[in-house]
Amino acid sequence: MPGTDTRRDVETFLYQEARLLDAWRLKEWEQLFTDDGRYLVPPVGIERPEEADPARTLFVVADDRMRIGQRVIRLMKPSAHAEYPHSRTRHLVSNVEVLGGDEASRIQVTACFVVYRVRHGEFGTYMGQYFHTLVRNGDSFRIAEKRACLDLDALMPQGALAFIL
Amino acid sequence: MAALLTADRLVSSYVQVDRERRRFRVDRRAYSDAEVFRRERDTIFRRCWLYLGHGSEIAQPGDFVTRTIGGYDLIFTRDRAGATQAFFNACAHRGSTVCRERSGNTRVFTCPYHGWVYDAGTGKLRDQGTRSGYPEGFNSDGLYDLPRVPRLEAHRDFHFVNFNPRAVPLDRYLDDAAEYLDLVADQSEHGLEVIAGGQEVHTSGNWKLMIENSYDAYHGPSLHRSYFEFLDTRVAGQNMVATQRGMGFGLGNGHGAFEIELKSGRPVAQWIPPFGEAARPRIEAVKNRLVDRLGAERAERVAERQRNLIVFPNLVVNDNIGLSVRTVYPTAPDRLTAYIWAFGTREEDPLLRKVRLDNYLTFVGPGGFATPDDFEAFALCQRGNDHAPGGWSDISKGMASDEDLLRARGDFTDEAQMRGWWAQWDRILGGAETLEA
Repeated sequence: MPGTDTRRDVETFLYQEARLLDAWRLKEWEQLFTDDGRYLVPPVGIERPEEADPARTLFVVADDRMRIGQRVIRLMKPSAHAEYPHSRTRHLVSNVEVLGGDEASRIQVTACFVVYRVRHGEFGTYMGQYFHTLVRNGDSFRIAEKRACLDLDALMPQGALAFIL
Repeated sequence: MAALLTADRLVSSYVQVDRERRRFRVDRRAYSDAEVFRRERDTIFRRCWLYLGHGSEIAQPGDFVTRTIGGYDLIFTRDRAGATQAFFNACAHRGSTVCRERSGNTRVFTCPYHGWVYDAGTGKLRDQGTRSGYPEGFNSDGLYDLPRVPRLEAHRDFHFVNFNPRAVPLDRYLDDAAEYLDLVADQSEHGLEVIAGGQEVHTSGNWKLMIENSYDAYHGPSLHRSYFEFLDTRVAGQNMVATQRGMGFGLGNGHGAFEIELKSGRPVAQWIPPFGEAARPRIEAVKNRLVDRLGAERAERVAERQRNLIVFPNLVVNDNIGLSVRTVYPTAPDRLTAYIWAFGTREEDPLLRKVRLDNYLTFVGPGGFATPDDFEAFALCQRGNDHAPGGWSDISKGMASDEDLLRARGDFTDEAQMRGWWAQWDRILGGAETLEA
């Protein structure tokens, strides 16, 4: 199993990712992904969302690398009305664990998250579990897959999920 | 049932038509008053046929799903003989919710409170958890069976309920909307199925804002500019907005649709380059099978055209880049709940299923590139309604001075289909239409 050094590196990386998202530095966030990276939000309210397959199940988000880029381009436009003006978010990341993989190259990690969001006086709390597949990149990582599994049984109160978990 | 609806005056005070000046307006209190919310529950949602679910969701005997329809908790289940059944999810003893799962397969439903046990297929009370205290034949008249929804009827495996025992039959109620459901159901010789991952969303806005939005093509180029810019990138070199053309229709009884041509790709059956070369022959094969089964002309319409349909009051069938079915309910005057399902064809090629879901997700759904902006528009309309005095919403676009409001026609970017919906809403809310046989 990978050691505590790896976990510390992973924590540092996930905190940096959260900081970029909360600052809406989405162009930099996008650069964290590998060329074949994916960003996934499985359907809410299902069993074992970490195993769900977007080719067979309707996901909330199932972006390939091209669509991650298009999502970022869209979200930075005033015509992305659902996020204009941008909501304020705070991504909290904890319970970080390295699940397995080859320390030197590709590892699977998990972490719990809570995202608090406010927009136009309406508050929302989005809690769940991340499953990241990370690829070593010097003393940091790149994201081969980010899967954000929400612990909600329906999407509320704002209904949509236009910002990035 | 209405013949021509060419009246100058409508029934309720909420909808006004001025034929001379070609104006059709809705009092914005219709979107925000608690009184309207209450009257809609007691009229619209008690007299109309409401979509319950698709047969594929309960494919096997004993399969069930639970959902809230028009404010009532229902169980939709398949009995041992293969017939569909609908029950109220409330124990005949004290009213407790009997079934707490969203879906599953069972032979019985057991109330968690006093242990009353019901046959899942027939609703018959089998056991009260005790033999003491009840006379022989206590339930001989079936008074204590799981209460059955008064009416359950289907069209092409789309199952609807009606809470009024005297309601007109479903097929008569559907009127010309049946033809549009047929165009959707005709996509596969094997029928349609609901794809795993149904979505339930709660958001701001009166439920009618989402209904209007669902077959409003006028707002596409403005509200969804960022989506169309993405689409132009995806299907290189095309201005997608400019390629659209089509018509909007009132289909009788408040139903409506628009039907358009737009090259944004359809798994059944219109290939576009982003689907990849591997998908091309498979989509062509789907198209060829359609031609064999339906003839060239109908196959062309099924495969190449997109259609947004509303079955009054709240079933939305968007047969465009994918097949999205949703229902919308008011939970408060200014809050709505929507259930959204993606449909595919049964026995669909796994690659085409993947293409279908991928294509669908770009636009539709809470994480798509367009739906969140629709939700934003509902919130903005609701806010404007609630925070500006004496407003009226305008639904006049494309109105002819002599049009039959329930069957108006126009360009797809006009609002003919919406006027039919509102005219029916006005008649039912105002008591002029009971929808009884």
